[in-house]
Amino acid sequence: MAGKESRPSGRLRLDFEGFWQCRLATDPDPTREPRGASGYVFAVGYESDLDGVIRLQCDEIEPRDFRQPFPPYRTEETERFGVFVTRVELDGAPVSDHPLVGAAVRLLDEPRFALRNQIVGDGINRLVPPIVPFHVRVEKDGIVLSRDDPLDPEHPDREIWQLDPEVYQRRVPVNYFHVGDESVLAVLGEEADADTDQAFNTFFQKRKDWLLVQLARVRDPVEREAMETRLFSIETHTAEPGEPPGVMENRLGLQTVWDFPIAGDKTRIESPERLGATVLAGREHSWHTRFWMGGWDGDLLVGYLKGYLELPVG
Amino acid sequence: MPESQGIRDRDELIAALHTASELEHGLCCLYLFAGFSLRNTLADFDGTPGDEHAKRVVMQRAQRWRSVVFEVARQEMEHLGIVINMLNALGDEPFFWRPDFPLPPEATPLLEPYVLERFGAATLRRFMAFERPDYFTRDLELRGAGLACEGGGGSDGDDPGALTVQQLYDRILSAFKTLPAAELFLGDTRRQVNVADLALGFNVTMEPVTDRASAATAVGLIIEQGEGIGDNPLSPDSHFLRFTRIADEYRQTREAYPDVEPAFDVAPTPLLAEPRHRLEHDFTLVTHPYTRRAMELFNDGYLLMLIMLKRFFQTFTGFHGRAQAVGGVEPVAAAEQKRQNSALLENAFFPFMTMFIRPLGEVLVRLPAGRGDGPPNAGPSFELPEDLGGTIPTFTRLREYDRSLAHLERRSARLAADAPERLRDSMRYLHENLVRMRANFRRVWRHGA
Repeated sequence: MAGKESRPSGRLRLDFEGFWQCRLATDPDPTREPRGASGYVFAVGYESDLDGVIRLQCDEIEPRDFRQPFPPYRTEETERFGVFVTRVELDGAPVSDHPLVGAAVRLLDEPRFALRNQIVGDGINRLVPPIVPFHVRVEKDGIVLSRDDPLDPEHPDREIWQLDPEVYQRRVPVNYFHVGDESVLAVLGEEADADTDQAFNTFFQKRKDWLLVQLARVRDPVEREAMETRLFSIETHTAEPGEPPGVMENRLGLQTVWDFPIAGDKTRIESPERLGATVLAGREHSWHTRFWMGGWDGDLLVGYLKGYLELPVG
Repeated sequence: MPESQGIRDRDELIAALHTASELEHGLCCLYLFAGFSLRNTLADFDGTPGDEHAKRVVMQRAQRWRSVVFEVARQEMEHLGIVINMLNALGDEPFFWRPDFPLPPEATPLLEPYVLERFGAATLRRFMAFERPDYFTRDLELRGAGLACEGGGGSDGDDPGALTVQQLYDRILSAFKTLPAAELFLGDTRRQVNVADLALGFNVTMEPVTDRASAATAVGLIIEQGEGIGDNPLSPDSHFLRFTRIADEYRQTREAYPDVEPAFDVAPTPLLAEPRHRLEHDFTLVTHPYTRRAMELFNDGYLLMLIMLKRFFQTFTGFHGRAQAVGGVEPVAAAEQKRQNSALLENAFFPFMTMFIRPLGEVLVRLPAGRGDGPPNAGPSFELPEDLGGTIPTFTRLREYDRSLAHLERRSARLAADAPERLRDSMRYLHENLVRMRANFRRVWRHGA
């Protein structure tokens, strides 16, 4: 049975945001395509095969799989890679010196956007996948908060292809925008009021220029091919200036919103005495998260994430 | 159809559209086969000559070639869809049949043999010939060039009677322009499938055909994408120029890295059954028992996909859910039909192609054709059952689709269990996806998307 979402009066809210990476094959490639062919994502050069895993921290990424130039675009809060807690609230009041400010947020157990080219997602919409598995962890200086949310709480071992989509409806995004205000703000910063199509097109034109400069510098034939393939993808999947946006520009403005309770049995709370309140867990006390992912740079394979985790406290 | 002969009436136009349908469908299969045959990961080069560095360079070039070849194949599907729209415009039936490979030159409108071949110089040259503008000869010489210097009397290298794709479509367009309107646009315009309905993306579009002007637009799109006609100079994204650029890069790559073979050693036109047309050295009967089972699964899935496509184009009037948006009250039968359209779309157009045809095709080029475990490897044969008599069957009931999907599901489970270790995960994944596709199909057919 899914954990009943409780809304006790006390709550600890952790706001987080930052850059994440996902090296995933994109439709119309089969979702297990290892190098990329028909979609706009390619594994290049010395990079490992595409695996689709969502990574929120740098230490989860092999150096050869981290593309430059990073950061891809300006942000308000941070330009380092990774998703971190930026603000903590206890019972609605900010706690600026809370020990979890700056904590690293991770998704454990190799989470992926599970859509399988619309087979496990519902309908023909390609932008609303659940993240499977979902097991969030927040950690800093010995404090750990983590919890999972099985797709089917009654049968946690069942895989997504064995389930009717209604079973995991709560885990499907609640909304998405092709050009979301917050993702545009994350990508364009103070220029967010600009003509987005034009600005996104320019974004990738500049990337092409950067790649061309690298191509002129690099001597290693494998690296040169990597630059060539990235240029090929941008040229194929972005629009000519003035034309309607291509898929890469479209995805740069994408903003997909998830909002669901976290109610699994795998809970871990370490150093609870330092949290300032007693965090509740167990079947009677689900946690809750709401976040968006977007600003997806289909060349760097990096996007932005912003949201919060809310925990009932006693 | 002899070259000198134009289209004189509706029946001849339908016949020409059937020829065009077979042509686009056949080209799509040939391109897919070549794309599947390219090595993709470093592991695909295991046991082959060449150092890792060279293999990584070749692998990345091959990756871009695959990308282009698959995109061209998708656009051939688009052209096939547009041809079906033209048949629907005439009030005729969707036509998805095509004769099995191999086909000798005399059995094809282009007078080029249709053989399933791995990616390579000869294959690329043939692809260029398929897509050439009509001012190139079949030998890819500029038509008429060189005659003066040679003192005249030379040949431009063409066989009389050979058509280019461009010429075939020029005739079709001419017929749409000149035949009496009363013979032409007799179909239900709601059956026209267009890009807004499908939201295809991926550089694929669909043009509805409802009158002479839209027929001209549709034909213009096909020959601009294929032969590059319509732009001056040729559209750089035309299939012809793309294959030409790949052929050039392929040659340079082979010269620079002669030890590294970009494609698997795949047997030409691997087949389950003796072909109707015999071409010397151009087919291979596959004898490896496991590979044969996997090929049978592929062919049965391919046939089911064609059945779904045919039904989709036969009955399309919109998708479930759209009617509510305009606040209309639909008759029950119309709503039911739209649910079925949605079910067919979700299984035929999207996941069946990307999650069944392609992954299984790519498994097949990694499986041995002969009784041993070594090369040459097999590949998808796209064979259609002879006993169907040249017609893709029509399924009207959920039970018929479900039975076929269940059959594929069961066989894929057994194939996953019996698969060689290196391909077991791929086959298991294929099975999982078939299970889900079948369940989705039932659900959407009954309840809508």
